[in-house]
Amino acid sequence: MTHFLRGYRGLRITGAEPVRCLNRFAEQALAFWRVRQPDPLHLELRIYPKDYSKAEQAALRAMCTVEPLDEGGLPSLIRPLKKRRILLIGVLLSALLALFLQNFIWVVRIEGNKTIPEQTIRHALTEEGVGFGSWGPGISGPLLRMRMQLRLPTIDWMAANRSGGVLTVIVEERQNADTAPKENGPANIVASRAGIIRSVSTLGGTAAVEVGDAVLTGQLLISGITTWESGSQLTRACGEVYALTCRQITVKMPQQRLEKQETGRTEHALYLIFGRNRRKIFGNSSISHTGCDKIVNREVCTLPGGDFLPLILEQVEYREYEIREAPIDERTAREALERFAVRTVRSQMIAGRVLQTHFELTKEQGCYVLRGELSCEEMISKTVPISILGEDEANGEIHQRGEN
Amino acid sequence: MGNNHRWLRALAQKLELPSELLFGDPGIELSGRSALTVHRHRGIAAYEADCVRILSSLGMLRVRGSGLQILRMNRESIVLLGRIDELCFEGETG
Repeated sequence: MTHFLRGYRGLRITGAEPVRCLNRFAEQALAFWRVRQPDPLHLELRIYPKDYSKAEQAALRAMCTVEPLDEGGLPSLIRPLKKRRILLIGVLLSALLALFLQNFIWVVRIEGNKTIPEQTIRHALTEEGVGFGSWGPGISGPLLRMRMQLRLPTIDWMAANRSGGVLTVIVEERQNADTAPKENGPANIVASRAGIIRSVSTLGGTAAVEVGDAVLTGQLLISGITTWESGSQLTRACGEVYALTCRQITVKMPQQRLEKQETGRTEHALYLIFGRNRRKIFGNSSISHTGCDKIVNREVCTLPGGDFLPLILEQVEYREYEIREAPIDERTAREALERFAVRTVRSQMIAGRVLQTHFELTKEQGCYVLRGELSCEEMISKTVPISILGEDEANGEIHQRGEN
Repeated sequence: MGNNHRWLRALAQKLELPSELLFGDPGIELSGRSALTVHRHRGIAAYEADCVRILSSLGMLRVRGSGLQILRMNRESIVLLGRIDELCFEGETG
């Protein structure tokens, strides 16, 4: 290292006894190293450049001649730069800037997020003043964590590690624990809708109905009370009961609709977004942007490693349109309303399917009205807890809620 | 070596005085078989890849080996690198 910093010069010593030259060097306290002897008449070694003249004189006294060889080390690297002052200044400035600029945040990496979008975290960090160009030493990890937790309550823990100009934010999201207490007290299963029983599968309790029975809303299907010879036992009824049900639905839609029709007039604009600044490069504002579709295409500049730079080129296209009223034909309306009706009924069922449909379309007050009856096979079981009153209040009677 | 010198050495030995300080005897450090340091030398008499002769107050120190190379040398010490097979004093130089 010292040799590299001080620089070195290779020497070839030629003489009858080149070894004597080494003794002369040692006597004159000339440092030398890496001595090689290619043949008995020559020696090759390295010395510091400033000792060259001394070495030459010492070699002459030892009846040897000195021939310079290669040069190396830091001084020989810097020497060519002395003539190119601008380059030297540039190199020094670059080194200084590299040392100074690493105190700023240039890249923010986010790790560990699973459900929270990265963009949300970036936005929250920006709101807290942490982003491109932030002063790195001013970022306090614990303070930032607390503020981020206030902004994003689903964050359980967060760490901000700075390495040069790169800030790595590690996020640990809160586990969604099932906070709803599990009900495990005694309960009955009753009918949520009226219908004809198609299947009963009992996993706990006693079935109170059979296949083919007609039941009303709220009627007991599976009882949580099992009666034995010696008494009764309360359990939590568990099972699935499917029944044939009939659902009625009415949906409507207007006979006219508003639709966009492009006028064919378009405008283009180009913006450059640097950090929080947005500058228009070209484009005019002659078009009224209120009645326009806006199509935005963003090109984000990235580093070779994939890190995003806060430099975005945004192309915006404005397409002008007019809103016009257009009639809806009956067939289209019927199909749309039927699809909507079936989808709505399906979403209302716990589980099951639509077996048959019967729809009737009418026109009323400028609207299409679809009335339908849908035959369904659906699960109608609904768990209802059994309320037990105190012994003094009910004399040991067991009251069942929802039982007919 | 004269009688006086021999007598002084014997006295120094009896008094357990360090001879290298009194008479400038060389200090030789061998690190394994790959590095040899000779302190208080008096120069190099011969230098080849398989044999190096070093002058000292006790005579000529001959170092035999292969691939011998002077790592550095100054007025005080010489550091040799290479495979060292043999060390011996060839004679007295006084």
